[in-house]
Amino acid sequence: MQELEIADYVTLAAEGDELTREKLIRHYRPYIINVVGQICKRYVTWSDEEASLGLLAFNRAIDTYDKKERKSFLNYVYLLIKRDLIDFYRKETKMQHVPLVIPKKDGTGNVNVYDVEKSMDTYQQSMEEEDLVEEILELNEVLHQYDIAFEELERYSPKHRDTRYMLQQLVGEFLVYQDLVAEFKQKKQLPVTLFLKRTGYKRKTVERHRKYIVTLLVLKLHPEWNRLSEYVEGSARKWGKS
Amino acid sequence: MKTKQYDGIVVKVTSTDIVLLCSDGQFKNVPRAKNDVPRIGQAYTYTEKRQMPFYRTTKILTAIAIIFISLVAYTMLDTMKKDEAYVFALDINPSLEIYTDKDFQVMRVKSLNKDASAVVEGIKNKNKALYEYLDEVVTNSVKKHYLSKEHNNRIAITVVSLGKDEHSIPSEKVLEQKVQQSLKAHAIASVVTIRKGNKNLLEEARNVNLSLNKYQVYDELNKLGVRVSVKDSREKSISTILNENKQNIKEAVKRNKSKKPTTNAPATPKKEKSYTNDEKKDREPVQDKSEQRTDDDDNNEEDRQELIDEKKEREKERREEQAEREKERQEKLAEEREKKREKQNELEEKEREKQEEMKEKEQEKEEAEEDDEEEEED
Repeated sequence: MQELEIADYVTLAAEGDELTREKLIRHYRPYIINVVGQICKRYVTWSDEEASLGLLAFNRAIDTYDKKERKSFLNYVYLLIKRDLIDFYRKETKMQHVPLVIPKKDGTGNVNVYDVEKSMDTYQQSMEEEDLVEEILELNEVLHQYDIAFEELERYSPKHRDTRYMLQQLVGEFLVYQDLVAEFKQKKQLPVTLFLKRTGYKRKTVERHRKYIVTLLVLKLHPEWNRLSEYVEGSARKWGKS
Repeated sequence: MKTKQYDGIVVKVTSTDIVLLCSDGQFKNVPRAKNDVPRIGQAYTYTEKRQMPFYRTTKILTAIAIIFISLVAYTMLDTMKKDEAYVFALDINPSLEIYTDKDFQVMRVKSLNKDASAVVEGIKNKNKALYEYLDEVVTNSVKKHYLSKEHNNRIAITVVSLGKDEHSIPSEKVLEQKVQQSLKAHAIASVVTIRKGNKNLLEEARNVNLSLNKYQVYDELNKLGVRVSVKDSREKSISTILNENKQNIKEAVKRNKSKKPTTNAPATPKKEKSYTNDEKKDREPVQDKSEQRTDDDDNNEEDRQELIDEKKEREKERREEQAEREKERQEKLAEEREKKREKQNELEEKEREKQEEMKEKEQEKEEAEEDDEEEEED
């Protein structure tokens, strides 16, 4: 989803397209939970109250987002979530008559409202990273279709530089075969057997790094993700030169 | 401790980890601190302290543990072996070595000849008291006729302490009494000699492949000047060896005494004492050992006199024998010389005959020639 498209989707959803709204929510779920966790300064799960507050705030953001305001949607979402959470904490403190400092739910310390304000500032400083966040969210969604979660990828990642370089070459070869790529896109699976028949790679190598290879392929098939591609291709380029 | 740094962007935050996409393209899950919730897309640096992997440390630990345990086990075994404190070398003719611990519990028995294995067969030796074991050996020997009323019996025991403490060895008297008791039970009389030995003696005996008692007898006989071969002493029982060499021993003892007339009875070697006892026992059956011992001094005086006389006789005999041998030799030599002479004479005669024959033939030839000439002239 590119910037323009996002705005379009949001307006669609705001106009009453429930399906698009569902899509948007599913797409931004990791972001919402991450933002909530960051504001609360602790790990938040979907069963926490703050998470549902964040989700409500996101829902409101869809309804009230105005693309003419030249503000990015992500930033807007962040603002709304933060504001709602602060309101929520204020209410809590009023009830407990302890201003500004809110005890955390897990009892490990306090959340200072000023800290929350401060984190907002740091967030705005790093707004350039918004594209990157968007890319990560999209990658996450695509990988989900291939039944891959980010936390699994460490196990499939090559540990040595030469292996990484070899895998880059493998992916390059795979992209040559258009029929294989089409199958990959359609079936959401890596056509290992066909690929091995056409090339001389060992099955063991492919199986060991299967999910990492899929991730690399997905990244290659989405050249519009500039920032992410940089991470993956950067190392390959370094190796290609040397 | 080595450290490694991971630079990357946060792609996901889970309850335990932060998933990083590192700048080299690999994904890395790094542990998350409790209150650290980084933003997605945020640059993140993680420094990993590399500890030695768990499995490697456990490997090393197990290796150390195994070495330690094996060392302990080894030392334990070693001390177990050291528990063999005494060796009782027993000779009837069956030659045995009985190994016991400090409390005289039999640990193992080594039989040194076939007779011994026959006697030992069927006796359980594990953790049996020494006296009990000796009793059974005596019983078995009686059963198998190694000890009998007809024989001139002799039981020799030598005690060797393998450890350092020799003071706890049972007194010779006690040991002898015990053996005599078990002999009495079978109404058999026997000479029982008990000696103390040491490790060196044991080793020397093993070197010549003799039982300890036999080695001592062999050694002492040789010192006295009585020649006994190792083979003989290995095959024959002590009593037969002594009986066979009775005369020689007596003479040897006399000889020694004549060399050292001033030596007193206690200074004479223990061995001799037991032989003199032996002599006496030949004449009268053993009733009580302790009584005999009180008479020892008087007996020794008489014995010495006898021995001195016998020794002189023996020397005379020897001289005579030597003289005879020399005569024989000379006779033999003379005979050989005569034979040679005869042979030479025969040869000379043969040659003479040949020469004579040759001469006769020549004369005949000459005569024949002369006759021919005469005929021609005619």
